[in-house]
Amino acid sequence: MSKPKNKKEIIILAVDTSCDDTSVAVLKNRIVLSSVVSSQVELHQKWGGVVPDIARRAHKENIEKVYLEALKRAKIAEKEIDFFAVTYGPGLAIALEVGVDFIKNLAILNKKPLIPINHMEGHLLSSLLLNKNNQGKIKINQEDKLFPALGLLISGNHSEIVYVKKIGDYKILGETLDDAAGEAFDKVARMLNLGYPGGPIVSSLADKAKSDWNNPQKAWKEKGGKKPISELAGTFGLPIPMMRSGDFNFSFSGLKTACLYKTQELRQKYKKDTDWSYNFAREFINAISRSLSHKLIKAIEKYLEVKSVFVGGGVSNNKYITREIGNIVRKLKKNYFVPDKKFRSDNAAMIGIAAYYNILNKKNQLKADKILELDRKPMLRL
Amino acid sequence: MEIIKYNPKNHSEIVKKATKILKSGGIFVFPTETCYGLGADATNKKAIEKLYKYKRRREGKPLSVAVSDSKMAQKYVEINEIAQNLYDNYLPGPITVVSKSLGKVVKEVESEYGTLGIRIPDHKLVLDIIKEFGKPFTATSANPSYLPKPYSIKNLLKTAPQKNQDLIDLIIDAGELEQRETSTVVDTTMNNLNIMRQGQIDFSKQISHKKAVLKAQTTSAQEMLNFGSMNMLKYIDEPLDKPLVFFLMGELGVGKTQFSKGLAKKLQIKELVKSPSFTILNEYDYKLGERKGKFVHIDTWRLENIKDLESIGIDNYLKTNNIISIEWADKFFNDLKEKIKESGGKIINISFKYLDEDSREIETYE
Repeated sequence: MSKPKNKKEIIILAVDTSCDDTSVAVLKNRIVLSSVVSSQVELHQKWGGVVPDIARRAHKENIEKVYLEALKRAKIAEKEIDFFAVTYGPGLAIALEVGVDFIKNLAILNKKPLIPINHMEGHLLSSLLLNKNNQGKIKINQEDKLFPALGLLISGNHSEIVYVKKIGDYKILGETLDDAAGEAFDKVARMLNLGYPGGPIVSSLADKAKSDWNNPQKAWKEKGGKKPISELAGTFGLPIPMMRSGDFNFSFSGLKTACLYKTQELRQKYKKDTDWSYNFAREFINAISRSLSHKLIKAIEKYLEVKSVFVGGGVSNNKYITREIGNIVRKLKKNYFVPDKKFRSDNAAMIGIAAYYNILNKKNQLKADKILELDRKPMLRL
Repeated sequence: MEIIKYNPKNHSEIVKKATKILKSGGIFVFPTETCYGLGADATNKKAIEKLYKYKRRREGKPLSVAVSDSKMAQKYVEINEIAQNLYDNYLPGPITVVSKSLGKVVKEVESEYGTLGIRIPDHKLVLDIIKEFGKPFTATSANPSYLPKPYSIKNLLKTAPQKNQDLIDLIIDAGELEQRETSTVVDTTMNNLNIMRQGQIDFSKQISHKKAVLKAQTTSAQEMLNFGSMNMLKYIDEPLDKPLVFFLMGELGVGKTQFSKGLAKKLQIKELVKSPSFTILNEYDYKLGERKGKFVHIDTWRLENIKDLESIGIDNYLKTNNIISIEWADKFFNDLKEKIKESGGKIINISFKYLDEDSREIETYE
C-alpha cells in the first residue's frame, strides 16, 4: 500500500442509501469533514420495520438536501471533489438505486471517477476514520501494522466473520445461515411488543435485569439436562446457537423461535406483570453475544497470525455485546477496534474510507462510459 | 447395439441376454405396462454413469428402480405403513413408491436427501429379468431427457440422437405399446400419501377427505428443508410459461425460510439462501437443464399492503420461468392472490402449523 502522506490530499464524496438511512459524507483522505445521516427511523416506527415504498420515496426526497448539507458542513464546493463513491450493494434494491443513480449523475457531470463500494467493506473499515483534529482509533500510517485481521460484521442483514489479509483482500470465514443478529433483535422486540428498531429498546430493557438472570443451572435442571449447560444463555434456558457446528457460521432463527414460545409461556404465567421481560432481554442478548464470541474465539485460535479484530455494523452499538467481545479479544492479546459511535450504524463516512483505500490501491475506479454501466447489486458479497 | 423382437418363444433367451448385459454394466431398453424403460444395474456405478450419459442428467430428478416383489424392495428401502399399504394393494402396477433408501444402490440413483423410488412393473418379461438378475435395475423411461416418452422402438430410434443410441447395448422390441400414462409417483417418506406425479392411478378419490396435495410432519430443520425440495420437485415440470408462486403461511419461527431453502436447493441454487426479512426481496438465478429463470424469495413481514410489494417491483418478477416464494403471504392474501392471478401465475399454498418445540405440520394446497 502506498503511503498517503506525500500525495495530494484527496477529497471524496460518498453516498449510502442501502437501507433506511440516506447518508452523505465528505472525506479528506481519512478525515471526516462532514457526515450527514438523515435517519428515517421516525418514519418507520409506525410499521415496526423498514417499509420500502417509504424508504425509496424518502431517499429520493432526502438525497439532494443531505448532499448539499454535507458539502456545506465540510466547507467544500462540488468542483473540489476528486472522487465520488457510493454503496452499490448489498441492500434493498430500490433504495440502492436512488444512491447509485444520484452519484452516477454527479460523477459524469463533474467528469470525476466513481468508486463503487461494498457496504460491508465500509462497516469493516469504519474504525479507520479520523475526526477533523486528525484523531481516531488508528493513527496515520499505523494501518500496515494491524493486518492480517479478523472482521466481525454484525448488522440487520449480516452476521459474518471475515479474514482480512490486508485492506482490500477479504475472505468470508463464516456467516449466518438464516436470520442476521440485528434481525433477531427486531423480531424479539416485536414479540415483546416493543417498537423499531429493536436493538436499543431490547438493550434498555436489559439494563433493568436483576442479577438472577444468569442461572443456566436452573434452566438446565428444568429441561432435564437435555442440553449441556454451556449452551444455555441464562435462567430461562434460551439456547446459545451453533455451539457445536464446528464451523464459523451463525444461525439465529432457532433462537428466535425459542424466544417466541418462551415469551408466550411467560406472558401466560405472569399475565399483566411484565417484569420478566428485563431478565429475558438480558438473557437474549447474552445468547447472541455468546454465539458471536464463541465463533470469534474459534477463528482467532485457527488464524493465530491475526493481529487485530475489527467490529462493525449496527449491532456493535450494543454495549453488552461489544464489552464481552472486547474482553475476549484483549485477553487473547489482539488489537480490538470498534468504530466511534457515530459510525457503527449505516453511514456514508465508512463508504468514504473504503473508497479512500480503493483509491490508494488503485482499485475499482470507474470512468466515463464505465460509470453508466454501474448497476446496484442487492446480493453483493465481500 | 442389438435389437430383438419379442415373442413368447424367445422369452427365456431374452431374459438371459438382458441379464448378461446387466451384469456387464450395459444398458438395455425394455417394454413395461406404461412406456419403454431403460435398465441399468442400480448397484453398478459405471452402469449408472453410462445411463446418465444417455439420458442426460436432469439435476434433482431421481431415478426409480424396478424390483420383483416387496421382499426384494425391503432390502433396498425402509417400507413404512403407508408404503406397505401401497405394495399390498397396488403392486405390481403403474406406481412408483418413494421410500427412504438403505443406501444399497449407487448414490446417483437416490435423491439428494436419500430417498429411492421403487417400481414393480406389471410385466412378466421384466419381472423374470429381475428375478434372474437378482438385483434391482433402473426403470426410467427410455427417452433422453426432454424428449417424448417412447411407446414404440420405431419412435425412439427416430427421436433419440445417434450419439445417444450408440450407448444402448440391447433393445427388446415388443412393438407398439398401449399409450398408457406413466406411473403415479407417490412419496411415502413423510408418512403420508404425497403424489409427486399424477399418472394412471388416481389417489385423489381415496384421499379426498384431505384437501392437501402434499403433507408432512417434520421434526427438524433438515426435514423441513427436504419437504421444501419435495414441493419443488412436484411442480418442477409445470409448464412455466407463467410464474409459479408459493404462498408461505404460518407464524414466526415455523420454518418458512427453511422451506424456501429447500425450494432453492431443488433448483440447484448454490448461493446461501438467507432470511429476506431485512432486504424484503432476494433474487437468485437458477438453471435446470434448458430452463433458466429467477428464484425470488420475498418476506412481507415489514410490509403494510400490496402497494409496498408493488414498490419493490413484484410486477417485474411475475414472468415466465420465475419461481417465487412469498413468506407471510397471508398478510394481504386477497390482494396478492388477485395480483398473481392477473399475471396468469400458478399459486401453491403452503400452510405451516406449530405442533411442539421441534415438530411442524405442513400442508400443500393448490
